[in-house]
Amino acid sequence: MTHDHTHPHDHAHPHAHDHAPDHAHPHEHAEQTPAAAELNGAALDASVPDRRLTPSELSRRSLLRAAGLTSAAGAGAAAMVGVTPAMAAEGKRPGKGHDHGPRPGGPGAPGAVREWLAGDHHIHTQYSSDAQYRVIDQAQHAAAYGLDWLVITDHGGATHARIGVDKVNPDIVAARATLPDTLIFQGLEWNIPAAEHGTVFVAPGRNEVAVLKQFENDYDGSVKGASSSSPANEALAVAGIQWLGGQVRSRAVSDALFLANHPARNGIDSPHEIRAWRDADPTVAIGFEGAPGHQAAGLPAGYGPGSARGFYGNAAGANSFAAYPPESYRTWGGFDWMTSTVGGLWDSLLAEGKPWSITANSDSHTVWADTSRRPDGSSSAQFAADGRYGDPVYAGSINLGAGDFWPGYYSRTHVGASDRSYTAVMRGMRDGRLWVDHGALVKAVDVRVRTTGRGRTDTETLGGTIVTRKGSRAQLTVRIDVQDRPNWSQFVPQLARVDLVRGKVDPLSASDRDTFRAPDTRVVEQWDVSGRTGTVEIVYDLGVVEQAFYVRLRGTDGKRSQPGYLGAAVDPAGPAIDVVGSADPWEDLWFYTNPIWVVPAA
Amino acid sequence: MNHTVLIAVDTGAGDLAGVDHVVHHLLDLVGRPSDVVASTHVVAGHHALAASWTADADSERDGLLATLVSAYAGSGVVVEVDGAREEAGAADRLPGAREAADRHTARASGRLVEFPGRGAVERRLSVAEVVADSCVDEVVGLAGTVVTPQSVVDLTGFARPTWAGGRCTLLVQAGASGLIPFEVAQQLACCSHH
Repeated sequence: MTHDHTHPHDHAHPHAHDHAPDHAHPHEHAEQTPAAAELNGAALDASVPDRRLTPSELSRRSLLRAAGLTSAAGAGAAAMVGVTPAMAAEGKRPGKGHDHGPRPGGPGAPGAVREWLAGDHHIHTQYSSDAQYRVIDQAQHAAAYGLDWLVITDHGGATHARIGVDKVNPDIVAARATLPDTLIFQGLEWNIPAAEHGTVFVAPGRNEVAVLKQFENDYDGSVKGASSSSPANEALAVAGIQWLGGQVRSRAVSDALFLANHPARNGIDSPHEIRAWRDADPTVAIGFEGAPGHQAAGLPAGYGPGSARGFYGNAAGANSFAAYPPESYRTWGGFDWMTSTVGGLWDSLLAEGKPWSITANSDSHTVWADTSRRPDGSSSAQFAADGRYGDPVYAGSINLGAGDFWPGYYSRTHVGASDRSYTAVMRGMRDGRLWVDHGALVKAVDVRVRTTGRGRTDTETLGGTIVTRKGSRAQLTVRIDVQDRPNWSQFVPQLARVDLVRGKVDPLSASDRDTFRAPDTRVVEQWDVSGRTGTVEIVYDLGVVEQAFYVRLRGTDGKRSQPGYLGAAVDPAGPAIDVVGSADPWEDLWFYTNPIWVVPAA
Repeated sequence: MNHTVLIAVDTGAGDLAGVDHVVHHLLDLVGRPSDVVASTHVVAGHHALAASWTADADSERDGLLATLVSAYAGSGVVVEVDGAREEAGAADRLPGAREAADRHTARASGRLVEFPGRGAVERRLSVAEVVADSCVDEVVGLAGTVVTPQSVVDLTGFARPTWAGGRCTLLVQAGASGLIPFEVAQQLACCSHH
C-alpha cells in the first residue's frame, strides 16, 4: 500500500442540493498522515501484541517463534497478510497518537460489546429502477419491526450515479430526523465489476454523498461496462475496495464497509474473487450475505410468487465459476450455499484464519402482500429523467407476487456494538460481532470461548480471537435466550437444536485461491433443546489448545433438515435445499453466528 | 451415401436464452434433420453452439460453410463432414467454435437444446419414460432429491439435458408438485426488473 494523496472529494461534480455550509472542504492535508505506512509500521512494531493479529498471522508468528527463527516482531512482519480489524480502526484515526496497547472499547482495540443492535444492510427504495418505496417507508417499517439500524442501498447504475445518489440523500437525512432512535446509513448496491452485487456504505457525514458518488462513477460494473468476467474487471473491483479504504484513511468519511450480496445466486462470485476483495482491504471488505433477501419468493403460487426462495432459481451461466456445483445455485434453509455448507466456502475462508462475516438482510424491493404500487406515469423513461419513481400509492389490491419482506420482518443481522451509534455499528461489523437469524428464531445469543492456563484466563466473543498458551484449556459457553415473544407472523418460534461447527486454522490452506473446501471443518456437537424455555445454557469443553481452530454456532427450529452438501459425516442434519415454488420461510428457521478463533501462542 | 455432419458456431451469445435462440435459428436454416443433436457450450465467458446429424444427400452439406458464414456475420464457424474440418468467419470467434465442436464430438460437456426424443419427452411423464423415449441415459436428482423410475417429472415445453463424460443426464429438482428440471425456461434476470 502506498500513501494516497488523491483528493477524496470531487469538487467538480454538481450537487443537486446543498445541505450545510460545512460541505466545503473535506480534506486537510496538514492532518493527513501516511496511514498505510503507519499500518505497516504497526505490523513491524514489536509492541503489536499477538491479540491484534489475525489468526492467520498469529499462527505463522507462533510457528516461527517455535522454530526459534526470529523475534516476534520479525515474524509478525513476515506474516503480514492482512490487517486486523483493530489495526484498521487505529489506522484511520491518524493524528490521535500511537497507542498500540489493547484498550477495551478504545479506538485501538476491538470494541467492547455492550448491546446487540439488529439491522439490515440491503434495502431498496424508489431510487432503484426495480423498487418502489420511499426511504421513510422502508425506515419506519424497519423501526416498527425492531431494527436499530439500516442501510439504504439503491442499485448502482447510470441514472443513480448521475442523480439518484444525490437525490436520495435529503430523504435519508429527513428520515434520520423523523426516526431519531434509528440509525439510517446511506449506501448503494454496487455492481461489483466481474461479479455479483454488494453493499457499500459509509458513515454519515458531510462527504457521504460525494464519496459514494465518486465510487459509483469510477468503480460500478454497470456504469463502467465492466460486468463480464475478465482479469481487468476483477482488478477494477479490487481497486474500488482499495479506493474506499483510502477515503477512510484520508478522512473523507469516517468509515466505509463493503459486503458481497447474494454471493452464490448466479455462481459468478468465484472463490478467488472473494479472496481478492477481502485481501484488497480487510478493513473495508468484511463479509457477505449468509442469507440473501427475497425470502418470500418461494411461497407457492397463489399465496406467493411461486419462484425460488431468495430468487435463487438459476442454472450456471457463461460467467459462472465452472467448479460450482448445481446445488450452489439454490438456498438451503434460506441461506446461501457458501454459508450453509459446513466445510464449504465460508469455512474455507475462516480456516485461513482471516475474518469474514455473514449477514442476513431483506433486499426489500417490493413487499409480499403489500397493498401499494408505483404511481401512474412510472416508466423507465420517467425513472431515467427523475432518478426515482414517484411516491407509491394505495393499490386497492394485495401483491402476492412480490418476493420480499419489510426490513426487520424476517431477516435480522445482529451487531455487537459498544454503543448505539453509527460508528459503533460499523466497528462492530468490522470486528465480526455478528450473528443472524430468520423469523426471530431466538431472542438473544451470547457465545464465549474462555481459555485457562498457567493462571491466566482469556475470554472472547463472536468475531474475536483468543491467543493463549499452548496447553491451555478452552471452554465454550453459550447462553441463548429462547424466544418468548411472537414474531411478525404472530407465532412464537421454538428453537429445537443447536449445532457446534469446528475447524482447524491452516494459514496455508488457501494456496489454491479457488478452493471452497475446509476439509477439517465439521459439526462436532448437536444439542437438542426442543421445548426449552428461558435461557439455554451450554458449557462445552473444547479441549487442550494445541493448534489454531475456530468454532461457530448454528441453530434451527428443526422443521426441515437433510445431510449437508458434503455428507452426513460433515453435517448430519443441516438445512435442506429449498424447493423451487414451494418454500415457506416461516416453516424453516435458522440462526448462524460468526466464529471465534483460538490460537496458541508459543 | 450418408455423411456425418458437424457444425459449430460462436456468435458470442451472452445468456442461455440468447444462445437457444441462435440454436433454433440455425436448426431452421439446416432444415431440422431428424437425428440432429444441438448443444451449447460455455467458451471464454459466453456461449457457443454445435450441432451434428447424418446427411443422406451431398446437397445437405455442400455450401454449408458459406451459408453459415453468411447467416452469422461476425461469428466463428466450423463445419466438419465425415471428419474433414473447415472453418471460416471471425478470427476471434473461431477458437470458441472449435472448442464447441470438439466438446460436442466428445460429449464431454454441453447442454442439449435439441436431441433425439425431445418432442416425446417435453411433457409431464415418468422418469422411466424419459430414459426410454429420448437420448437421456439417466435422470439425476439435485442434492439428494429422490428419483425413481416411477417419479413424475414435468418437462412441459422445456428440457435441457447435459453431457458429462459421454453420458447424457437430466438434472431435476423438487418442485411445487413433483419433479421439475433444474434448469427452467425462465431464468431470473441477474439484477433489476424481477
